[in-house]
Amino acid sequence: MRKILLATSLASLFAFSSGAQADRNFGEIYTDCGLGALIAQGINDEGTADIVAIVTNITWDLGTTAVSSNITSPNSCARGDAKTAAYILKSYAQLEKDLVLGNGRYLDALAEVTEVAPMDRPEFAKTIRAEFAKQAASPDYEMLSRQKKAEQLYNIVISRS
Amino acid sequence: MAALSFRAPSCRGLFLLTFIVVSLFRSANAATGPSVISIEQLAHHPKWLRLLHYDVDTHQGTFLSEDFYLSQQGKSNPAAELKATLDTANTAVTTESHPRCRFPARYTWLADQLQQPQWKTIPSACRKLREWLRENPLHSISLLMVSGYMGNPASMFGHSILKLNTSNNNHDLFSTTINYGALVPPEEPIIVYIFKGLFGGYQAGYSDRYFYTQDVVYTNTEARDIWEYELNLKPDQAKFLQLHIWEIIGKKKQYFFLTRNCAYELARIADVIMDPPLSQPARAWYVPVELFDRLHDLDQSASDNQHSTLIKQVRYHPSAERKLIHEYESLNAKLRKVAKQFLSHPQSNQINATLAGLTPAEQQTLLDFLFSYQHFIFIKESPDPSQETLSLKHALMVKRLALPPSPAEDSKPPNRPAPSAGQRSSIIGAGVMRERSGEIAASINLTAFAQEPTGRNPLDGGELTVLDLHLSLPTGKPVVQKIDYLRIFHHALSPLPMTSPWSWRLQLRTQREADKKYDHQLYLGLGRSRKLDKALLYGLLTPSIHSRTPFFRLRPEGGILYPLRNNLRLNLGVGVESTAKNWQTTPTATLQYSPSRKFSVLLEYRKEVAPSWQLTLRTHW
Repeated sequence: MRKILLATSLASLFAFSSGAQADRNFGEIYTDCGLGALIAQGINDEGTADIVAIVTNITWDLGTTAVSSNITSPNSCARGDAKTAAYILKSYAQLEKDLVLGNGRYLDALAEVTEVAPMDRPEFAKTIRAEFAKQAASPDYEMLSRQKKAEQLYNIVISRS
Repeated sequence: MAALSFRAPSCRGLFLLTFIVVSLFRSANAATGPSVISIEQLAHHPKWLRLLHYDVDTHQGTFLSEDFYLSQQGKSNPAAELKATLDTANTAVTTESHPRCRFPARYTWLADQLQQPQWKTIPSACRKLREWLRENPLHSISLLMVSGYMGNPASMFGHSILKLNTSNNNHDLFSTTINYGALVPPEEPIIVYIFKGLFGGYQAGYSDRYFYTQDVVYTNTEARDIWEYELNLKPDQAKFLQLHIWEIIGKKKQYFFLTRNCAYELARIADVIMDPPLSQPARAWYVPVELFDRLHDLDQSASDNQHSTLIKQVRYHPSAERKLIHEYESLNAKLRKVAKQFLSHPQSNQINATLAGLTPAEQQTLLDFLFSYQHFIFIKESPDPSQETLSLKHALMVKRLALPPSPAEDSKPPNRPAPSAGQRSSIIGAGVMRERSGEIAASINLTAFAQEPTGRNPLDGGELTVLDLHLSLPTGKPVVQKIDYLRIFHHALSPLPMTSPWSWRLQLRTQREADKKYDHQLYLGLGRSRKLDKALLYGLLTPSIHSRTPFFRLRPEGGILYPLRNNLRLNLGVGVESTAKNWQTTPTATLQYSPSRKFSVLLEYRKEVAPSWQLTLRTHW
C-alpha cells in the first residue's frame, strides 16, 4: 500500500517529463498544491482563481510570492509523501547545504517529516548524505533543474525510509 | 445539573425589536447565582465584534467574503449575525458547510457566554477541521517580526507573520504560519500596483504556510533577520485563537497599503484573545514594528500591574548572511587569511592548492566556510546563477562531501536586540532653533517614521526616515524650515570578501534657504563605511540636484558615528560642497540622548553658508 502511495505522489509531483503534465512548471505545481486551491475555493471563474492564487504582500513585502502548504485542505500536499516531496522541492537549496556539511535543521526536519525515529536519525542522515554524494559527483549535476535534483533526492529519501 | 432558561428566539422580527432577556443559571456552581445577559448586550460585546472583524470606526464587518457572515445583514448588524449563529447552534451537523464546522471559535465563545458547553465540542461531521486540529497540535503561538529589506523599497519597513508552534524546539520548520497579503495579478505594472495598493484597489487574503517556506524566503533568500515573540497564553486562549484562524483562512478583505496591511490584520486576529486589544485605531499609517511596540507596551503594563506577562520569550532567527559572517569571524586568523586569499580569485582548480598544508580538521573547517559562502552567493544569484558560481559551488561540494560530516552547530551569531526594544518610530518634538537667517525661534518637529543613526534601532548606524517636518515659529506663525521626504543611509559593513563594499545614502528634501526661499533637493551618495571598535567611520561622494542654482552640485563628505554611552550617541560629519564659484565646507554635528524608548533630546548643528542649530525635546510614539 505504501509503495502505491509513493508511486502516486511521485507521479503527481514529478511527472515533468511525461505526457499531459510535461509542460507543468514549478509555479504551477505549487499553485496546484497550495494557495491556489485554498484561496480560490468558491471562486467559479477560472481566470479570477488564477489571479488570487498569486499572493504577494505588496505593502511590506513586494516579491515574496506566497505558496501555501494548503494545510486546511485534506486533499493537498500537506501530508505523507506529498508533504515530503513538497518540502524537498521548496527547500532544496537549504537541504543541499545541510547534506554537504552533514548537519543542519533542514536535514533534521527531513528526518522528522519522513517519520524516522529520533534514535535512527544520525544513521538516516549518514545514508542520505552518502547517496546524495554519489549523485552530486556527476559533472552534470549543476546542469539539472531544481525539480530534477529534488526528484533525485526524493527518490533517495523514499528508498531509505 | 445545569438549569438553562435560554431558548434561541424563534421570531426574527421580534428579535431585533425587543431585548430578549436571557437568564442563565450557573447551576453548576450554585453559589455563583443567576446572571442575566441580553442578546443585544451579547451582540455588541467587544469580543463578538472582534470575532466578526467589525471596524471600530465604521461599525461594519471588514470581510468581503460573503460566506463569512451567516446573516445577509451580518456585515452591518452584529445582532442579526448573532441570531443567525444561534439559530443553527442546535441543528444537526451533517456536512462540512454547517456553521458549527466553519465558525468553531464563535460557538466556543457563545458556549461560555450562554452556558452551553456542548457547543465547544467539534462535531464529528467537521472532518476537515478535526483533521487540521489533529495535524497542528498546538504548543504555543508566536508573532514574527521580519526585518526591513533594503533590496526592495516596498519591504523596507519589515513584515509580520503569525506562527502556530507545533513543537517546543527550534526545529519547528513544519509549524503553521499565517500570512496576510494582497492578491496581486502577475506582471502588475509597478505604478498600478502602488496606486491600487494605496487606495484599496486590491483584495487581500489570509494564507497558511509551513514555517519553512517563510524561512526559505526571508532568512535565506533575502537574508533578513526574524524576531519571534512567543506569546504567554493559557492553553484555552491559544486554542481559541487557533479556532478563529480556521474561520478566517482563505477569507478576503480590502487591502490598504498604509493602514490595513499585514501587521494591522494580524493584530486584529490576535484581538480575539487580547484584552486590551493589540490593534489600535488606525492613523494615517501602520508599520509592522508598531504591532510589536504595542505588544511590548501591553507586556510591560501587565508586568507593572503584577499580572502574567504577555511575552514568554523573544527568539532571534539570524539571517543567512549573519550566520555566514559569524562563521567567517569564528575562523582562526590563519584560516581567515587563506579563505580571503582563495575568495579574492576563486577558481575550482585552486582548491587543492588552497587546502595543501592544512590539517584534515582545518581542511574541513575551511571547506565548510567556503562551501557555505559559495552557497550564499548561489542563492543571491538565483534563479540565474552564473556558470562560474555553479562550477565553483560544485567543485567545493564534491570536495566537502568526500570528508566526514561536521558536528552539529554549536555556535550561533549573537542575539540582536528586538525592534521593539528600540525607540518608537514616530516623533513629535518641540524646542528652539537658530535659523540660517540668524533669527532665533521656537521650533516644532514632526516625523512619521524614523530610525535614526543616533537613535536606538537595529540598523547598525544606518537610517530610514520618512516624512520629517521641521517648523519654526519666528513670529508665532509656523514657517516650514525643512521637509525630508525620505532619508536612507545604508552602511555596507559585512567583512565577507566579495560582498558589495558600497555604502549609499538617498535623501529627498525641501529646505528653506538663508534668503527665505525654498530649494528642492535630491542627494544620492556612494562610498565606504568601516567599523573601528565602537566607532563607525564613513566617507561618501554625494552628487545632488537642486531646484535653485547651481542645479548640480557635488559633495565629498565623511563622518564618524560614536556611541558615548548606550543612550548617548554623537554623529560628526563634514562635507565640502561645490557651489557656482568655489567649494564650501559644511560641518555638521548631532548629539542624541535617548533615556527611554519614548523620549529623546536632540541637539543639531549645521553650517551651510550660515550656521544653524536646533535643540529639540522629543517624544516617540
